[in-house]
Amino acid sequence: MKRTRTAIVAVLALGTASLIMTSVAPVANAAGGLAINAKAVGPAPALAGTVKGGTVNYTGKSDVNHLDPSRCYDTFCMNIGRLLWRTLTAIQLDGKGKQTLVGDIASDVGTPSNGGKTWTFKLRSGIKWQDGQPVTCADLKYGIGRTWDQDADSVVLTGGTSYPQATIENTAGFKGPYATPTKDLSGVSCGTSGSVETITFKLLTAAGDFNFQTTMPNYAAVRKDKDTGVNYDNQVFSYGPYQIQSRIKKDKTILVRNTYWDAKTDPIRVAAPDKIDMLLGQDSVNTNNLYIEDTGRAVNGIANGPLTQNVPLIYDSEMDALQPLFEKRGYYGKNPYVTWLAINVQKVTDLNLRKAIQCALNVEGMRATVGGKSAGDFTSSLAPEGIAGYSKSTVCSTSPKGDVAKAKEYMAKVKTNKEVTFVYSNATKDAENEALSLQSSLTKAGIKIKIKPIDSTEYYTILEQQGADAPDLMLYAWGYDWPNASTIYPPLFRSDLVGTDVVGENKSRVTDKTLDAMMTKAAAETNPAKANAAWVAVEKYIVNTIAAVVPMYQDKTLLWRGSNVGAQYNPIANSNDWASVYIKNPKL
Amino acid sequence: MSNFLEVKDLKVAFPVEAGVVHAVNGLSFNLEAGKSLGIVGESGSGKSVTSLAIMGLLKESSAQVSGQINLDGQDLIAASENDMRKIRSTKISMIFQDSLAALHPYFRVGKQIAEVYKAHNNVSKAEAKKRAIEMLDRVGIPEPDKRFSDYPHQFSGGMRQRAMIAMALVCNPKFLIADEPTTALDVTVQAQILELLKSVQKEFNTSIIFITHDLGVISEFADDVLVMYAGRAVEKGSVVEVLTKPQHPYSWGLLSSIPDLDSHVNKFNSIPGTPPSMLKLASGCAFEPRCEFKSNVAGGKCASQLPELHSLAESPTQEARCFLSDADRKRLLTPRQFAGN
Amino acid sequence: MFKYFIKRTATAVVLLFVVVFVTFGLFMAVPADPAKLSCGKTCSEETKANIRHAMEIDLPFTTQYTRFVKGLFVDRYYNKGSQQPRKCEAPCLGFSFRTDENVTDVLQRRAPTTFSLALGASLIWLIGGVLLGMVSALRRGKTVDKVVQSFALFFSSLQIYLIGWVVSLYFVIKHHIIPTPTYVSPFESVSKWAAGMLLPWLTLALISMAGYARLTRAGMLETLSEDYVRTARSNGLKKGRVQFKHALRGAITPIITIFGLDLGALMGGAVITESTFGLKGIGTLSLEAVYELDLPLIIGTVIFGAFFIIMANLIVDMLYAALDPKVRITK
Repeated sequence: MKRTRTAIVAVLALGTASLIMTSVAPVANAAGGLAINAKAVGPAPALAGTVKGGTVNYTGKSDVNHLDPSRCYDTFCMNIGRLLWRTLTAIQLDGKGKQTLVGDIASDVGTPSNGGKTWTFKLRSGIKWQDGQPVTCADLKYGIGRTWDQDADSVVLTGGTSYPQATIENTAGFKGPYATPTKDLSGVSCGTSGSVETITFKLLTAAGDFNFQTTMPNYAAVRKDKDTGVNYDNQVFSYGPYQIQSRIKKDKTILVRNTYWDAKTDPIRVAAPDKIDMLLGQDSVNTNNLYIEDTGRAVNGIANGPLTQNVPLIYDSEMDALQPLFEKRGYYGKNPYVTWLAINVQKVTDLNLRKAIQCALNVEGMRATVGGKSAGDFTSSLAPEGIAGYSKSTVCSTSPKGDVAKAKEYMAKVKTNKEVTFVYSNATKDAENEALSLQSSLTKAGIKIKIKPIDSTEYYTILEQQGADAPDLMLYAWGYDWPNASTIYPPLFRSDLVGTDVVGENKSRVTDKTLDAMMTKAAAETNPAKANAAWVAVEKYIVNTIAAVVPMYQDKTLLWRGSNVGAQYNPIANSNDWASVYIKNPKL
Repeated sequence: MSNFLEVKDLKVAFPVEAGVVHAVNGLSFNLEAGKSLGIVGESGSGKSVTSLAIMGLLKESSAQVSGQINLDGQDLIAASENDMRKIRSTKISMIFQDSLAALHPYFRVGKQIAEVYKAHNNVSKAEAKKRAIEMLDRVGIPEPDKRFSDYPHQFSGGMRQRAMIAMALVCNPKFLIADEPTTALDVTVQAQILELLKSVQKEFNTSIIFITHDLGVISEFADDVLVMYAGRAVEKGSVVEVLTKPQHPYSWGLLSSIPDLDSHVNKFNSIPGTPPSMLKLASGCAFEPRCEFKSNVAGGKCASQLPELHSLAESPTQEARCFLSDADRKRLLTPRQFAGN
Repeated sequence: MFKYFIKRTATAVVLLFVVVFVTFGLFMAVPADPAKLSCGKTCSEETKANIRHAMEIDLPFTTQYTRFVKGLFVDRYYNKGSQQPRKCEAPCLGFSFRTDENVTDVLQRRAPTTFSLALGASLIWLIGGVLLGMVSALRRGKTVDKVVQSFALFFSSLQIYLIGWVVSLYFVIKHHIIPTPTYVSPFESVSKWAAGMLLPWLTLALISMAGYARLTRAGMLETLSEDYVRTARSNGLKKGRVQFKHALRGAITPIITIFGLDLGALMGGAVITESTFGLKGIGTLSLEAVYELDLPLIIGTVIFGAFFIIMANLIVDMLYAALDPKVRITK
């Protein structure tokens, strides 16, 4: 079973934002990392063949968690929610797989000053609410301020990210618009520059990638007079291309056009269909069959989550049968998640033993137990392809089967051959098969390995615990919060994440001051080419120098779409992109 | 008087897993209108099966029925189930031993009776109810309009049996079969029921077949008696004849086993042995294994040959199925003890 | 009789409260933290504490329980002293941790689907099962009987989640014989309602029908050999009347009582059938609620289900007296 996460996991603990901004404005780049366009305008790049009209269906089991942008934190709501609201900045897809950071409500990508502790964005004009009124800076400030409701005693707006609170100054003790209606959020202020509005942020510490953080849903506008608190989830007042016609949670939702939306102001959304029809609570197997047969709702439909998330294991034999169908009407490609084996360096202290494990691991064998090709493509990097840090380097052997001979060489240098324990969750049968495969491949190299199943309710707790019971080896998977190496390496390998009782996301328990310094420097680097090189060095340090992990495969996503639908893959959402989807023949 | 009912060579066999049970093996008898016939025998002698065969209740079952049963000119064996349905209750009716089991526990007694009446007569519900109450009254049930709405379990044993009789007679049948109707009742109630039956018979000139193993009841109630053993008639005749001068060792044995309250004998007489298995028909006389007089028959043919019913010289209306000579019988079948009338 | 009824009703009510109490208690014993669930993985401890406060789950068990019980009769206000107290009208079952909706509203919205499924399917299986069982008993040993018995054995061994998918694939998806099952209110369109529920009805009924056929067959075989059936026949009653009125009536009592209990349980939600056909009834609701550790919703669906099961038991008890005169305590 693929261990994909539905929600992008972030660990922006308060200490993270200690990145020093040294140079000035970021520049559009081509070498590694994401492109940036400070002057993007609408209309958004449309997929070839886009026509206007028709209704797009969504048929699925789970509903969007929250459409309220202040409460939105998973990929589903970010993908669909942005049909109703826009964020300060956003990632643009060009239809050919290229991702670019652009201004969404902002007309630029922000200008840092004060060493990166202050950021100012110019706002676009012509963005209108669904009643025709213009979206103002005050609306945006109000929307951002709703995040602070999480700090209130009687919190109402639950579920959203807490990035803004961790990043932005708040000298007045603002706790959201309901609990502290008279207080002001000091770190956010509105102003003007000539004829346009501007918004300025005062940050707690310098952040080189703040304009990436502003792609998060917290940075969306909400109009105060339309804020219905806990019910806003069902009644989002829109300034995007669509608005809510009807919504019954976990049942169905219909979106229709917001006639006040102006495509010229929007570099992200194409908004080709007239209507979006969502039907929830549907059985996954039936939905999958609808797509295989390309009938009923599936014809005009796109799937949201990866196929393997909803439908049990798909083995290579089944994939072969589905392959021709996917070629016609599906996406079958890499997603931004990487699965790797974490080695607890605090317990497996002998570097040679760790290197032996890296060489002995038969990744191909393990992958076969969880579905083979459909599980992912082999990789030697923790970063997904296209993100800074990625390189086609070698871990130990060029073959995904591993290199037993080389492993034995390392084993010969091992001082004490301590037994290592691999823990796995007993939730599924294939997890056990995977563990057995790992055990067999490591044993061949003479490594003493024990596998230990953990009850699925306790599994994540066990992974985090320190002390004598801390696990030695474990599988983990990770995907970025936004397409930047700063949301991959630091959240996973900073030494301050390792405590005496528990450990955060640093499953390898790496407490290396050298590495810390390397990562801080790389995050501060504003020159994209230099930044890329710096992150590659970080990666090589982690994988080759200290052998803390064994990268295994970059996960793959299988996404259906109907024969009457044109759509592209959105890597951030790990799903079909809702902003650019279109109906090929609206008459069907 | 013509025969109202004529049974000729009735045979009933039931195929079972172990083979075939020959319940009735060639039974013949007649019954005149307005008369009552008592059929006596042990359990398993075939007397109940005979009544079921007459009622046609063995049709559409696995039973193999052969022979002839003529009721007032109609051949009941040849008749279809539907034909039988029409004459049941209207021409011929039956009352059963266990009145509690025989009445539907979930329907009110009065309604059950009314239902029967309505099934055979084109009347309204109200009329049927009236008729049912009439019948309940006729059979001597007090407060019949109230008892109409009672359930069977709310009646006493005697009352229930009366109700059954009411149900059997509601359509004025000419012929009634009573299968051990008093066996489950105590003696005083028994007497009342017999009184009732007698009065009904007198009033409507009903022919009655009374099946029982109780000779006392026979002596009180029946005109003629038929003694059955192993599915055959072994003795036939008028009640006086058979009960005072039995001509078959079995009948003689039955009568002898009735204790005499006047004597001071401490021992009871019984017929040794047990009734035969109905799976394998003996080739000879069925009673032979238990008969104490078989040595008197020359050539020991009792075991190998089946004696036919033949009447006696002295009482031509009495028949017995036995190889003993008339003289032997007179000598041997002396009354040890038996109830006189 | 009346006294008995009162006593039984009182017991039923007490039972309902016990069920709620036990559910509350079991939920409290579960180690997972609903605040964490509502919040996602980024929650700071402070936020989680705030959430627990807003949900009123930081209060001691007895307080939560008494507030809940009180809320059934009197309007309840969450966070009364704060800036934004939330009003929950009586009978208040709370607000869903997951969707913030008023649980009573959600139950009301979803109940008709479950009722429709339960009533339709149960009627089909009762009538179908009894008829098949009767035919089987009357033609005992013949081909019809053997066919019905095999059918009964086959279908009672199947599971909904197999039949559901197979039936969906064949009838709905591949061959478009029946439209996708959806719930349309019968007050809107009876024909659409029936068409939308047809597949779930048949699927659910087919499996249960088997059991009822066997039950009826066994009961009928017994009553057909009873003396009172013989009496009815010997009284010259028509065959149909003997079979249906007399014989079936004797056999029907256990069938009706079991039916009452089955129906009662089904009113609580046919979880697998609803899930397989994507029906949004109480069944799927309870499944989602348990999976998401949504306490108010769990309590709501448990009460809903328990209510019907207890009611069904009560009715069946009363029904017994109506069906079997020997049980009545009058006269």
